[in-house]
This record gives sequence, structure tokens and C-alpha cells, in this order.
Amino acid sequence: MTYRIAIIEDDEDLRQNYADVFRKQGYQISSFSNRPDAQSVFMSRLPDLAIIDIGLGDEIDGGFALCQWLRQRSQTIPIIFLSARDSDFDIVSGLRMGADDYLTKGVSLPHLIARVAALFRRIEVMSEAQTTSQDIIEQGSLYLDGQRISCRWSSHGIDLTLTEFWMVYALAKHIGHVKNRHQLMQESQIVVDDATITSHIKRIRKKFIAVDPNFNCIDTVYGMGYRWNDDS
Amino acid sequence: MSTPFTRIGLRGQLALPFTLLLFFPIFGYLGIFNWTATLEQNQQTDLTRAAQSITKMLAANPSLLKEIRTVENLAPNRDLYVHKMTSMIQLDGKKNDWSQVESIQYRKNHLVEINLPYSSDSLSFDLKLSADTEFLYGFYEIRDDSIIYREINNLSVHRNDHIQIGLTDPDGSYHRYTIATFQPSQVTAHIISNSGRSIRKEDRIQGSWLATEQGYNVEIKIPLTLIGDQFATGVADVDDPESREIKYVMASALTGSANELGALAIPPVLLEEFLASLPYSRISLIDKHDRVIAFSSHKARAKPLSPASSSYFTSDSDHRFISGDSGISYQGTDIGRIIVEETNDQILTFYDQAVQKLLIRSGLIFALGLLCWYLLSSIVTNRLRRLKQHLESAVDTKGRILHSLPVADASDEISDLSRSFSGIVDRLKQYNQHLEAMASRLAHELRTPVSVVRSSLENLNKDEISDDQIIYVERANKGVERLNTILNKMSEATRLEESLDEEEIDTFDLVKVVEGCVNGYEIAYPDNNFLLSIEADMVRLTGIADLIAQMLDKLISNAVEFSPAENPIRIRLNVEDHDALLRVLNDGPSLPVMSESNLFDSMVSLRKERTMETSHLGLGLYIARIITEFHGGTINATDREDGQGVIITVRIPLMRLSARLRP
Repeated sequence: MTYRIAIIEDDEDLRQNYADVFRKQGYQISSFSNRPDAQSVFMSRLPDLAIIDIGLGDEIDGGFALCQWLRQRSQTIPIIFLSARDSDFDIVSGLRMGADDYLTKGVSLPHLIARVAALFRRIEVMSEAQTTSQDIIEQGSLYLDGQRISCRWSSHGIDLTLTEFWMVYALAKHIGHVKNRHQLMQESQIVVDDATITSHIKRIRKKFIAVDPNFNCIDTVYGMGYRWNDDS
Repeated sequence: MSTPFTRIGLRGQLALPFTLLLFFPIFGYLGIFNWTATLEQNQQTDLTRAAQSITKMLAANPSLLKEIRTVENLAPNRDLYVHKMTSMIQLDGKKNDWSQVESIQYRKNHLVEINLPYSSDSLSFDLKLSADTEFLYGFYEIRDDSIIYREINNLSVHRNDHIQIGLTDPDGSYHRYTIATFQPSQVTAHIISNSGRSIRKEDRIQGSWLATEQGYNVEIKIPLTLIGDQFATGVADVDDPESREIKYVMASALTGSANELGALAIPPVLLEEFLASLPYSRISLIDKHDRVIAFSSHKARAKPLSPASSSYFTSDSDHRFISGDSGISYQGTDIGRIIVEETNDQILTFYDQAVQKLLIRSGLIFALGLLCWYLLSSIVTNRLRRLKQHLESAVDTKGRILHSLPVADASDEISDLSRSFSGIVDRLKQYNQHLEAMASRLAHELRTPVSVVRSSLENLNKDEISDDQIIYVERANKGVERLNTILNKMSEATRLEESLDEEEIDTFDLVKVVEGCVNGYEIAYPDNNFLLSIEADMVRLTGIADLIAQMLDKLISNAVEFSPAENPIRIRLNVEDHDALLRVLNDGPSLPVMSESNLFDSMVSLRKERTMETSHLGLGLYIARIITEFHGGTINATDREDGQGVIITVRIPLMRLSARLRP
């Protein structure tokens, strides 16, 4: 089947570029420059995935509003924020709205395509309802499924964004090895500054600590990077 | 703009109007001076009127003027002035009643008749004369080496030592008297003829003869009724008891004829008593020849300035008499003038008191003015100083605005100024914030167009591009990649500042952080050498370890760029005065002059040559500064003492309790 992707972006050229590249990949594209237009079409039929800019024309936070509106209609539809804003505040806000990922506009198209593909693959794997042993990491209390992009600590499911998942995946794949920030960026297919990596790591720690106060597996090696420690 | 006026300072400028107060005492003094002069003039007028009224009183009382004897022929040698009696006289020949009276001394030059050569031991005498309302008294203190008394049973009165008196009576008739005795005792005068023989005794002229060591004393009294204007008296000396010849006569004048007598001036006692009863300091009656005829003085009674109130403003020489006078006549003839005098003590007292009051009052006004001036100028200068301090503390040495000015609520000009400054500072602060946020806003604004370029390049179907064109696409891609890196760096500082308030603060060991970081740098910069020296076992800091690591990253990347690869970068950590001291030393070029203060500001880069590979926005050290200051520390860059490199020193206080650490 052909997935339908909705692109909501107020910059005409950028919207067309994104639309073109996804069409070349074989996706069906519907693009909108503002929230009301998008909502009026989504009323009749929801897309399979939405890529949303936060500032939409006159609406500074139009993207947030649209994300909330979509989440109310569907709990499962993958939503990616793609914005010029890169402050922690915006990232945290966007993820709280229920977005699956938050990307800043510097991201390269191949990276963007890889993320979209990963999200669709997750949907496919879930619908197949059968487990393959591919891309599964079990390490102590940690259980990572690379296909479903799901993460569990002991018996608790941990809701990670795509970026966060790939970071945990990169760390846990080589237990005890220090991954520097650059490596983490490559593995999670983002290009951001060091401080953003640091805040991602912090958010990941918090999510684990929320289910297990004694969680202490992600170790900061100052000046070098991070390391996943064996919890057993 | 500096004028001589502004150069003296606000306090001095405010003091100028107060110098006008100095004119008060000057004008006051001039006023007092004029007053005193007027008072003296008034007093003189009063005294002249008083003299006139005294003249009238005397004219109405001729009995007083009757006493006045006018002396026409002046012969100072022969004239005798009689003192007014001040004490009771006892006719005993003793001197003690006479202490108040001045004596007239008769010596060689008073010899009026010389029969034998004079020797000074032989005769001299002192005469004292005084009078009351009834009698003229005389006291003769005679020094004589040989006293010859009258011969017993001999009627002669002039062949022995004797007193001669010649006078005219009030009717003008001439009389001659001799006083002689057989022995020292009570004596009576003899009226004698021209030949010197006694005619008869005159009982009204009584006396007392007393022998003394030097000679003898004779004390006599003569009723004033016997005495007219002319008078002379003397002593005749006889030393030879056999011959009994008069050796010489020493006298005020020759007593032998009416023509030779001198004048006798007896004080008009009743007149003087009358004058004394008048309430003036000093009244005198002088004759046409300016000789004092009658005199009364209350000067002793005139109240002198008591020592306590003794004046600082007038000297003794200022004390003087002010006088008024008026002519006086008796029975149609001009006798002389009445002069009434009064001390100027009262005026001087008035003057003193007035000057004193003036000084006290102007002193008080001056003190009050001084106080007012001091308070006013203190308030004004203090407020200005406070404003200056606020202003200076609001802006740091690097020109950054630290906080707003307190807004004054008063409504005067200084508060206006302060409000105006406050407004300016606030606007400047907004402008500064605008500038500081510029990097992040710029990054944000640029991001979308950069994405457009990037996505467009990526959309190019590489297969359709010829090989010689693909190289340009590659270059465009590289450029966009670099642009992206720059945008990330530009927003890093802002994002860091935003995140500071949310990060969790913890206590950590700086030694471990630095050690870990330096290990990382050895991998990250394989071409460079790092020398780490740590002079502490453990350095406990409160803050965010990740940020410290980030700061160290910036310092090291800065040092790596400046330092030649073959030279090591030294990192030192030690503890000094409760501060952790972290130093990064490189062998790079010296700092440009005057750059130390703003090296750590946003978007300041001091690199001389721009390398193409990395982009320098001058944000690295700015981030280091933000992190240092968040931990309550300071950061500065100095040239190394040997001039071969640069030291960046970070000083962070150990173990602080406060949660959000900015000082």
C-alpha cells in the first residue's frame, strides 16, 4: 500500500522540496500551508503520517495546536515536528503534545526519509503481530525491539521518541563502550550541537528513573561521551 | 564643559549665596556706629541745655555767686590757692589733719628780705592752706636750726622767730599781723603797725605753736570775714639771741604794704556744694582766664563698667567726657562759664551691648545658615552620589547592564534625572538583550532558507547532472553544511542560558571531571599534547558537572586553535583561598592590547587570520563565561609572564549552598 504523508509547512519552497523528495520515494503527499486547511481535509480522512512545522503563518504555535488536534483523533498516527525552533522548551513542549519525534530544520533529507521509513516499519511490524528476533537487544532489565521501536525496562514499557530510542539502541548495542556525541548523532541520524545531545540523554535518564528510581545505567564520561553500564 | 564656577563643586556653588549673610553684621555695625554718633551729639546738646539751666539757677540764687572772688591781677608766684576742707581741723600744731592738702614749698627763691647770707639749714618751710565756710586755716611746717622765742617782759613781737601775715579785708583796708610766742603753746595774732610794733592782740586769729625736731609747726585759723582778695604770709627768722636781728624773711609775697600782696583764692564752698547736688558727673565754673573757680565731680560715682561686662569692643581710650557750656554773669559783669561734663560710659555701654547683640545674632543667623547650607548641600550631593553609585553599579566594567536603576518617587529635578537615567538604562538593557539574542534570532531566521537550499540541492537528481557540474553541487552542499554548523553554534549560547534555570544542581568532584575531559581530549585531538597537573585530591564544587565539562571543551578547543600542534597545552587545577583555580595555558600568540575585557563577550573573535575550515563566531569563550558566572566564578585571560602564550584562568568558589548559583 502507498502511505499518505501530510506535510504542513508555511514556507512554499521548502514544502515543495519535501513533497518532491517523498514523492520520489513513492509516498503519496498532501501538503498544507496552514492549520485550518489541513484540519478541514483531515476531518474527512486522516493521513498515515504528519510532518508539522510549529510556526504556521500567523499562528506562532499553530503546529502544537494541530498536533493536539490530531492526537485527539488518533492515538497511533506518527507525528514528526520539523521546526526551525531548537530551544529545549520547544522540544519538550512538542514531545509532550504526543509527537513521535522532534527535528530541527537542519536535518538532511536522507535522515528525514530514514525516520519516516522507521516509523512506517514500526506500524507494519505491529500490524503483523508476530515477533522476529531481528534487531532485539536484551541486556539485564533492558529490552529493545529495533523493529517495533519499543523499549522496556524490567516489565515497564518506556515511551521513547525515535531519536531517543536510537540513542539508547546505540549505547546498549556495545555495553561498556563509550560513545561520543558525534557517534550518537550518527546513530540517531540527527545533526545537533553537543548541548542538545546532553539534554536528550537527560530526558532518557528521566524516563528510566520514572519507572525505576535506582536506574543508573547511563554513565557520563566527561569530555568523551556516554556509556551503558551492565546493570547486573 | 568646565567653567571656574563648575570647578568649585556643587557644595561650593551652593555656599556662594550664603556669603551674602556676611553683609548683615557689616550693615549692623555701620548702623550702630551712626547711632552712637547721634547719641553723643544728643548728649552734648543735653549738656549744653543743662549748663544753661544751671546758669539760670545760679542767677536766681545770688548768694551762691557772692562767694566767687574775681582776681584781676595775675601773679602766679604770689597768688595762693586754698583747698577746700575735707576733714575737721584741730588747732594742735600736728600735721595729721592735713594729709589731704597739698603743700606749697618755700625755699631760697622765696626770700623776700635778706639781711644776712642765707644758708639752707637756717630756714625753709612748707605751707598748707584750706578753708571751710567760716575760716581759712593755715599750717606752717618750719625747719629752723635755731628757734628764738619772744623775750620775757618785752613787748616787742618782731625781734624773734615769727609768722607775718598781710591782707586786705573785704572792704579793701590793709591789715598786718604777726604771730609770735614766748614758748610753744596756744597763740593769738598781734595787729602790728608799719614799724612792726604790736598795736593790740587780735583774738579772732587763733593758732597753735608746736616745737619739732627740725624746727616748729604753726597752725592757725582766720575768720573769712577778716579776709578780702589780697593776702600774703611768710616766716621771719631770727637766729642770734643777743642781737635779735631778723636774718631773712621767706614769704609768698611782701607783707609790708597793700600793693605787694598776692591774691587769695578761696573755694566757693556753698557753690560747690550746690553744684555737687546736681546729677552730673562733673560741673566746673571757670573764669575768664580759664582758671577753675568752682568744681564738683561725681566721677567716682559714675558707674564704671564692671569687670564682668568689661568690654571687648571699646578700649580705655574710648572713655571720655562730653561737655556743654554756658556763660555766667554776676551783677552785670561776666564772671566766666559753667561747663557741664558727662562721661560717655552710657553710650559706650550701649555700643558694647549693641555690638555684642549684633555679633550674637549674626553669629546665630550664620550658624543657622551654615547648618541649612550643610544639610541642603549634603542632601543634594548625597542624592547625586547615590544616583552615581546606582548608575555605576548598574553597568559593569565591560559595559554590560547588570540591573535596572531604582525608580525615585520624589518629584524634584534630581528624581527626574534619576528617572530619566532609569529609563535610559532600561532602554539600553532592552537593546543589549536584543543584541545578545541577535545570534539566536538570526540563527532561527536563517534556518528555514538554509533548509530550502539544502533540500533543493538534495532533490537534484545526481544522475542527470554532468560530471563537471556535479563538483559545484558538492561545493554548494559543503557550504550549506557549514552554514548549518554555524547556525547550531549561534543558538547554542542562548539555549545554554535558557537551560541554566532548569538543570539540576549537584555536588561533584572537579578533579574527576577535569581528568575525564582531558582523557577525552587526547582522543578528540590526537595531534595535540595535553599536560595535566592537579594539586588537590578532591575539589568539591556545587553546580552542574556537564556545564563545567562544556566550559572546559570551549577552553581547550580555543587553546588547540591557537597553539602550535607540537607544543603541549597545559591544564592546571588547584585550590586557593576557598576557590578552585583552573588554568589553561597555551603557547599561542599574545592577546591583542585592550582585548582582555571583552574577549568573553558574545560574538567577539580576535583571531587575526580566518581559517576556512572552522567558523569562528566568538561564542566559545562567551559560553565559558556564562558557565563560570553561573557557578559564581570569574574568568579572565592574561598573557603569560614569559610572553610566550596565554593563560585563561577560571576561578570558582568551592561548595556553595545556594540553589541557583548566580551571585
